[in-house]
Amino acid sequence: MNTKLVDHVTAMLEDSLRYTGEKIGDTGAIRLLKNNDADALGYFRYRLAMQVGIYLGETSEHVLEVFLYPEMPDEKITVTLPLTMIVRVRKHTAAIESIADALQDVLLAEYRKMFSPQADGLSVLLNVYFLDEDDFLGRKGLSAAVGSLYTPALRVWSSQGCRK
Amino acid sequence: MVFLKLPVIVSSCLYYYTIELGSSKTVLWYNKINKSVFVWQGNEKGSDARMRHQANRRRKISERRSITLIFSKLLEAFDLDTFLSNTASLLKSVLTGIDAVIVYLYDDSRKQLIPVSVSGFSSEHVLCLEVEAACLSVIAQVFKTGKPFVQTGKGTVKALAGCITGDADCYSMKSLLCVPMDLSDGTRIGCLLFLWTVSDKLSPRDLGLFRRIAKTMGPFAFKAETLRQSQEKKYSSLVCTLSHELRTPLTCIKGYATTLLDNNGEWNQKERNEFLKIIDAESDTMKELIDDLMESSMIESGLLSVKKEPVLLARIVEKAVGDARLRTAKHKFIVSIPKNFPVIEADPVRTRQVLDNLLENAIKYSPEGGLIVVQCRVDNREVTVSVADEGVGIAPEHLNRLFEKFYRVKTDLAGTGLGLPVASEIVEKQGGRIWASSTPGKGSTFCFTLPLTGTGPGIHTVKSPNWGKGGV
Repeated sequence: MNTKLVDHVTAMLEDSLRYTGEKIGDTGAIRLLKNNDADALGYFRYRLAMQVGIYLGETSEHVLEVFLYPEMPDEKITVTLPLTMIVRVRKHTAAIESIADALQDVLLAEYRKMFSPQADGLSVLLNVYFLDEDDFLGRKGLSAAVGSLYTPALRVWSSQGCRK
Repeated sequence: MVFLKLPVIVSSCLYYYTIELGSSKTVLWYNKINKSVFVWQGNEKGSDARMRHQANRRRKISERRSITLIFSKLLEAFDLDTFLSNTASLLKSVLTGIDAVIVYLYDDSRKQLIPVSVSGFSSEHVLCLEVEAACLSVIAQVFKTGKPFVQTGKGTVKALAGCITGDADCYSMKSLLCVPMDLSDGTRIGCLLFLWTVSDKLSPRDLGLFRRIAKTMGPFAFKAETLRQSQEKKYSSLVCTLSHELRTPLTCIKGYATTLLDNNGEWNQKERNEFLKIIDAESDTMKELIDDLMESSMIESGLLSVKKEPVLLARIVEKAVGDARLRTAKHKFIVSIPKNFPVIEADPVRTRQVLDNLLENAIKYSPEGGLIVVQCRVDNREVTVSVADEGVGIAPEHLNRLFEKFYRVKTDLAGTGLGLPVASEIVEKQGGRIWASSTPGKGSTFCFTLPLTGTGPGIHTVKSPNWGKGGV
């Protein structure tokens, strides 16, 4: 794996933008996103979360599943709303934590450029929570959201098979 | 008519002159510590009593100042060298009038009082003193009994017999004061010996000052002694480590070289090349060990230098990771470098050395393989490079000591315990910081920073996609 992370991130954003365009059938996806169009943002955020999940899952053998925690019903979806992601891991290592940090940094830099001026002051785009098997079995913290009836987290990647 | 009387010595660092002009009396106080003069005037009867009171007050203040000065200086840079080399001379310089000072610390294994700091004599002339012998020196007696010893006049030289030898200055000493050094729990750890070449300098009042100094100095001396012992242990363990580390590659080199020589002509070219490759690799290991040792001695002598120049840290990181990839097939490397990573002022060779060391450790301490993530970040003042792995991790009790020389967490793995201290020195010399965080079993992250010098974005610029222009 010799590709730079920044290239991955650029590809992730390009793919999410293309996917949004396809879904809404509009060529001006970026304009809709900048205008905080809820539908466009929904597709875009889902696809981006999936790309992040794929990257994390394919990078570390310790990642078992990646979930996107949904927005609260009263939460207004905007282009600056961070993505909350739950990553189920076999072992929570320093390296995987560092990858998430690096993803956050690079993604933020590209995202700010993409959604300027709305995202100029954005400092957090990814809220990544790593939960190991103990957390999951004990339904600690956000692991409870994975099987929640009311606000179930959306699986975006699994080591058993990616929902690409 | 003006009478200028001889100075009256209140303590070793404070005395006054009295000037009488008719019925009026002027007293000039001179404090030798801060070289200040205080003028006191009086023309009333009974002023002598007031003067004595003033004198007492000033003596106490002056004594307190002396103690504060001594220990604030010791505290400024407390380390073993400061204590061992400077304490006696510091005491001698602050407590003006003293001609020699010797600090003795008790060595329990040798049952001797060891002169660890000497001023006024040549240290090789000061002897270690037996504490368990039948005929004890006065200093050993002070140590055993805990009672201070004062001697003035001719008996001084006699009292020093067996303590100092071959030093002519010893015979000029006229006063001697020896006080024990105790810790707050009463443990006796040594003695302080003060000597004067005049017999009238020592007043009974001074005893209190010197006892207070000895009492305050106790913990410092104890700490210094503990440090010395731990250093001795470290050095002996280093000798063991080095012999082992050097012998292993040397045995290999010797073995293969002898095999090649003994079986001249019997080995085919492929086998010979294989042997030579092993010899070459083992020679490199030895060279690295010797380089580490040399770096360490350079740090010790303050000779390690860094030559700063504008560098593209991103390139150095990529090159270091690229070379690390060649050394291992088990590990997967992820490199994250932001676009427009700035040019910084740093020593490229030394910075690469730091990176190589961190990457080498990440590989070494994750023997099962796994991810190694190298991340570069920029903020307003500095750039941060981190190397994270999925290795064995480091227990919290070891984290603070990782950058100490010769400290090794796992002694069963090859290494001298010099890599991280050298890396730390290089980073700090360039104005940066280095630290580690870890959870046992979950890997470690080593980070170092280098200051940003405001040279602006470098040439490491990747054209970013043109977001927002045109539709998707």
